[in-house]
This record gives sequence, structure tokens and C-alpha cells, in this order.
Amino acid sequence: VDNIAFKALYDAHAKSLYNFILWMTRDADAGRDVLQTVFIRAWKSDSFPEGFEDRNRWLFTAARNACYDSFRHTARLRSFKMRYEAHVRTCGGDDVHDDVFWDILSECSETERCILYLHLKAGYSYSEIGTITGMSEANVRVKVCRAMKTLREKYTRSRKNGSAVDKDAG
Amino acid sequence: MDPLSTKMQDEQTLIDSVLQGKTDDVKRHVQQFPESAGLVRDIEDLKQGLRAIDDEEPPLHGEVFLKKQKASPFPRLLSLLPTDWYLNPFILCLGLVAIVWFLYVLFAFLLP
Repeated sequence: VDNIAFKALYDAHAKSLYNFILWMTRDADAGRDVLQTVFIRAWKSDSFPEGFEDRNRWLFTAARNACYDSFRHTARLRSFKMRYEAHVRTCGGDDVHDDVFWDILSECSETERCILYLHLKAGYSYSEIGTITGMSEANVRVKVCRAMKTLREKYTRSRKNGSAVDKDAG
Repeated sequence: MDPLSTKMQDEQTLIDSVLQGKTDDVKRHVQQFPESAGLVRDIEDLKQGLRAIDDEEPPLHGEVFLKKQKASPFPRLLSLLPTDWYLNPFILCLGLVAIVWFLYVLFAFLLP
């Protein structure tokens, strides 16, 4: 891959990968580092595939693995969940809608967040997600279902709290 | 199959149908089990809400790949240390001992 082709590859895939990494880490600095690691792996790889879809899948797989490496690195002193919650409100814009859903997402495990992003945002089917994450299709299905149930509980709680606050304000 | 397993499997199928936008299946299920309407509404809300989270712009190609070249040697040395090294109890104790030893030397030998 020459420099121009590499820049084109970066421009084509960086946005979805960066947002995937942010879903996983919710940390802009870690996001940049992981993104860099993924593209360096692509640069060095002898088996980097041809074609947009195959490359996208390869890059998502590499991004997922790099995120897990990053979690292992940061989990030495603090658990990942604490880091995630700490970064929920420090990254991104001032959108209240986004804040609510980032808060809800922090309830999920990193595997569940990974699967939800790939399904809801990237539009992959369960079998494709299975290929990327190394899980069976049935396992992906169960994890999606479990994640949605967890999110629903938190969503219902946050709606109740919201209506209680509205009543207090009224 | 016991009723609990059947209920869980039904719930999973329903969540799948909502996520994949199979509206006919969802309608049929809700007509048959009206109590599942709340679940359908919540999952639909969550699906739309998660999809609507704003995408952020990634750093530019140059920003990402020139960053390491521009870094000074000092941060590179720091990167060899474990993450959050300054919170490591061992390093904190070592720092404390060094300060106490420095103060001891200062007051015991140098100041008199």
C-alpha cells in the first residue's frame, strides 16, 4: 500500500472506526491511539484484504482487538467501568439526548457495546458480527437480547427519575 | 419446554424482530400478547435513540500519523511506565521515603 492509497483507506474507514472505538472506550485520547494502532496494523499486514466490505470487516476486527488490548493496559489500577463512566460526560458535545444514551450504554459490558454498535450503527447482521467477534451467531443473538434488556431497565429507571424531577420542578 | 424458557425465547424473538424492523411479526406478536406492547415501545425507543447518537469526526490522517514523530523524548520515556504510574502505591511510598530522607539530611547535617 503506498502513501496515497493509505490516505484514501484512512479517509474511507476512519470515521466509522473512530466512532466504534469511542463506543467501546468513550475516551477521545484512547480513541486516537487505538485508531492509530489499527491503521498501523493494516499498513504492516501481509494479509490485508481487497474490497471495501472485506477491509471494513478486517478493520473492525482489528479495532475490537486493539480496544481489548487498551482495556488490559488501563485495567492495571482502575477498572474499565470506572474509566468509562468518568469519560461519559467529558467526551462529545452538549447534546442532552446523547448524554442520556451514553449514560444508558455505560450499563453494558464492552462486548455488548461492541455488538450493539456493529448491529445498530454499522448495520452488520448477526452472522457477520459473529465473524468479526469470533462468536457464534446464536451467541451474538443472545448477547444482543441480554444487552437490550439491560438497557431497557436503565432506560425505564432514567425515565422514571426524569418524570420525578419534572414533578418536583412543577 | 418449561413456560419460563418459552417466555424468554418469545422475548428474544420479539426483540430480534424489533431490531431488524420486522414490523409485521411485531404487530402479530403484540396482537397475540398485548402485554408485550411496553417492551416493543421501549426497544424501539432504544434502537432509535442509540442510532441517533451523533457521530464524531475522526482526527485527520496527518494528525494521527505525525503525532508520534513530533513527540519529544520525555513523553516517550513516560510511555514506558505503566499507565497511571503516579497513582501506584509503591511509587508513592518511594517518593514519600525520598522526601523524608531528604528532610532528615537537611536538618541533621546541613542546617546545623
